[in-house]
This record gives sequence, structure tokens and C-alpha cells, in this order.
Amino acid sequence: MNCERCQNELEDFLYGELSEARGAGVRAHLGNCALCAALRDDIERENEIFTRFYERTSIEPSGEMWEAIRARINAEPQGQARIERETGWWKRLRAGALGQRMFERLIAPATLRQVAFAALLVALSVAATTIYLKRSDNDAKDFAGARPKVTPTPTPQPITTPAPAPSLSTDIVIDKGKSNNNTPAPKGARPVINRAASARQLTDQELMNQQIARAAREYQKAIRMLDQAIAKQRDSLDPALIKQYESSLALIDGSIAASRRALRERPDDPTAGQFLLAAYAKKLDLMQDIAMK
Amino acid sequence: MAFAEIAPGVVARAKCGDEDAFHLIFNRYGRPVLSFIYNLVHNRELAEELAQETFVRAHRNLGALKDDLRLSTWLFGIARNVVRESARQARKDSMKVGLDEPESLRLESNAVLPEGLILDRELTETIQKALVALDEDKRVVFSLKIFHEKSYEEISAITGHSVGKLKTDLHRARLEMRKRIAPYLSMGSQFG
Repeated sequence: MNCERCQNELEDFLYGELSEARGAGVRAHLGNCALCAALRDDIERENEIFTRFYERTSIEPSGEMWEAIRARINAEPQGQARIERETGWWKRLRAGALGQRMFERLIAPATLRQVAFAALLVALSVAATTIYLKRSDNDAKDFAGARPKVTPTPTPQPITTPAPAPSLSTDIVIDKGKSNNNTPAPKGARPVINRAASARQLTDQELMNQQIARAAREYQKAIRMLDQAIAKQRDSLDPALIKQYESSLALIDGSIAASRRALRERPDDPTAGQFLLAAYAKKLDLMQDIAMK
Repeated sequence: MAFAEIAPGVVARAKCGDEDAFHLIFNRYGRPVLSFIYNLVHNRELAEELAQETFVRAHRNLGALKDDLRLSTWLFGIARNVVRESARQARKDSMKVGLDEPESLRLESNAVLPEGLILDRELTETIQKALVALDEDKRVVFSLKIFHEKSYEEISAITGHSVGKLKTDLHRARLEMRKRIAPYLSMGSQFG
């Protein structure tokens, strides 16, 4: 190789774009030619400067950027369409790989047995939470059933006041827009908080949501643990099995995401919460199957 | 500068509507994509706006991505289109947006800075100005090859240009950049 050809190919050589044979030719020439070697050093020095420039000037996206993207994504009509499209996931799960129990159970290695045991403990904890949740739900319903109907409650009348007093609803928790006499509150006025009523509201809806969130957190913990275990043994698993596993996982994750979005959009809909927990349970089940391989 | 592709399965999950998976994609590629756009428009606010648009479009069209392993190439392609559309729109609006108006790095003349740091800042500003002086095709190929370490094949997929044109543009871009930074190259190790 002569200098001209070497210099023509030098940049591509440094980018790693040359074939092995041509790269070997350039390398051999550089070993024997001080002029071309000096040119290579110059290009490498330039590259170092450009690298440093990039490192100094590259921009880390802010958290606000993600929030803005997320808001725009969720505002898109197709987001809803996707949720609707995915509501048939149970059907697909039943008909698909999961429903058929395609994975044969094998005796787990000792390390995985520990993980499985830990996951079992978490699953039991989740089950206990779910039972508690249901009980809370029933209690809340009982409470709701036992709660007296909302009727106007006359306030004590000062003897000197001839006009009837305004009625107060016992259900008012935070009256943001109106004061107690049903006249608009002045702009900027702080909402009046009825603390007793607030506590009662918590037993109704918020407690339910809290329990769902707690159960979801427990599932996530177990999933993280199993994820680590699976990652460790990933290389020893059959690639076809891994592929099937990932595709099933993607399906379930899609359902989790859809349920979570549905829950966000309709926080008072208990079905969305139940779907979310069911999807987590299914994911845990699938991951345990793989971790036990 | 080079970055590993995202873990397998994440793209598939994002395609199924998993917002967390798409967030992972954003976390992985947000910085290179935003920086690539910034290298092209040299206006941070505009770059952030266009990066946002890039990821929204990516989310919208994720189903059209055939090869999950080429996600980053695909994202850079969208980013490039978004930048071009923005430039076209800016021209249409007769507004001077972005492309020809680099945000200058402020050299705080009053501040007492070590000589090396001052030179370093000068060099950074010089490279920025040199980048802006490149025409669009050269700037794109230079940024993708030198900063993002993309292969010719990937850059060709992003830009739609032939590998031959890319090589020519890159070589010319390098020559132009070299001319600008030559005084600093001779100072050698001061920029370590």
C-alpha cells in the first residue's frame, strides 16, 4: 500500500469501517511510514477533542421534558384506542402461551429455590393484602350502607333570627367553591376542611386505592427480585423459551400499563384496580415458572 | 459517546403500550437524540421542543418499527425529519429560528479563570461555530459519525443518502473543522 491510498482510507480505518483485509493493509503501512503515522495521530487527537466537546455540550433531558412527552402521549386519541384494543388481553393470555402452561416444571437449583421461596412469601403477603383489601371494601360498603341518608340538617337557630338557617350536607368534605351558606366564596379563599368527614372519605375510596397501590408495590418487589434471578440464568436457558417468555411478558406488561392508565383515568373504578393486580399476579406466575427452570 | 442498545423486550413492551417501557427508551436515548438535535439547531429551547416532538412521533409510530434492534437509528431518523420540517417551517415563516443562530457560549470576561479553562471554552465555542458553518448534510453526517459513532450504513438509513455521498461529505466536513481548530491542535495537551 502506498501513502496516497493509506491516507484515503485512514479515516475509515479509524472509524472501524474497513474490511479486515484492507484494515490490515493500512495497519501494516502505518507501521512503516512515519508520515502517515503522524497523520493518524493528528486525526486521533482531533477525535479526542470532538469527543470532549460532545461530552461537554451534550444535553441531559430534563424531567419536565418527559412529563411533557407523557402528557402529549396520553392526550393522543390513539392512546385510548390502544387501551381498548388491549382489553382482550385475558382472551389472548388464555389462548396463548400462558394458558397452555407450555413450560415444563423442573427441579429448581438451590439458589433459585431461595428466590422462589422469597417470591412465595411476597405472594402470600400480596394475598393477605388483597384479602384485607376486600374486607376493607366490604367494610366500606357496610359503612356506606349504614350511613344515614343525607338530609338537610337544621342548624341551631338563634332566637333572634327569623329566617330559616341554611342546610349543611354531612357529606361535604372539602367545600372548595362555596362557603357554608352556599354563596360563592371569595376568590383565593382557602377551602374549608371538615376533618371528621375527611376521615370517613378515606375509609371509602382512598383506602381502596391505598390497598391497591400497596399490593402493586409488593408485586413489583417480587418481580424485581425474580427479574434479577432470571437475568443471572438467562444464558443457560433455551433461546426459544426466552423468546416465548419475552413475548408473553410483553403482553402482560402491556396489560399492566393499560390497567394502570385505566386506573389513572377512572380512579373510582374498582375493576381497573382488580385488573392491575390480576395482571401483576400473572406476571409473577410467569416469572416464577422461568426462574424455576 | 457510543451507547448500547436497549435491553431486548423493552421495545416490544413499549409497542404494547407499556408507558414504563417507553420511559426506559426515553431515558436511554433522550440524551443522544436531544444532543443530536442541539448540534443541528444550536438553540437549546428549540432542541428540547423538537426532541419532545421526536419522542411523541416515535411513540405514535412505534408499531411501524420493524426491527427493534434498529431503534436508535430509527429515532435519529425521526429526529432528523423533525429538524428539517422545523427548518422548512421557519423559512416559510421568515423567522430566523435555530439553524443559523448558534447560542454563543458566554465567555465571562470579568471572571478570573485559569488559562487552560479559558482556552477550553474558546475551543468549545470554536467547534460550535465551525459546526454551524457546515452545510446541513455535512453537519448531520459529522454529528452522527463523530459524536454518535454511527456506521455509514446506519447514517445512510437515517439520512437516505448513499454511503459514497456520506463519505465525501464527512471528509469535507472534517477538513473544514480541522481548519477551524488547527490553532488549538498545536497547543496539544493543554486540552486534556
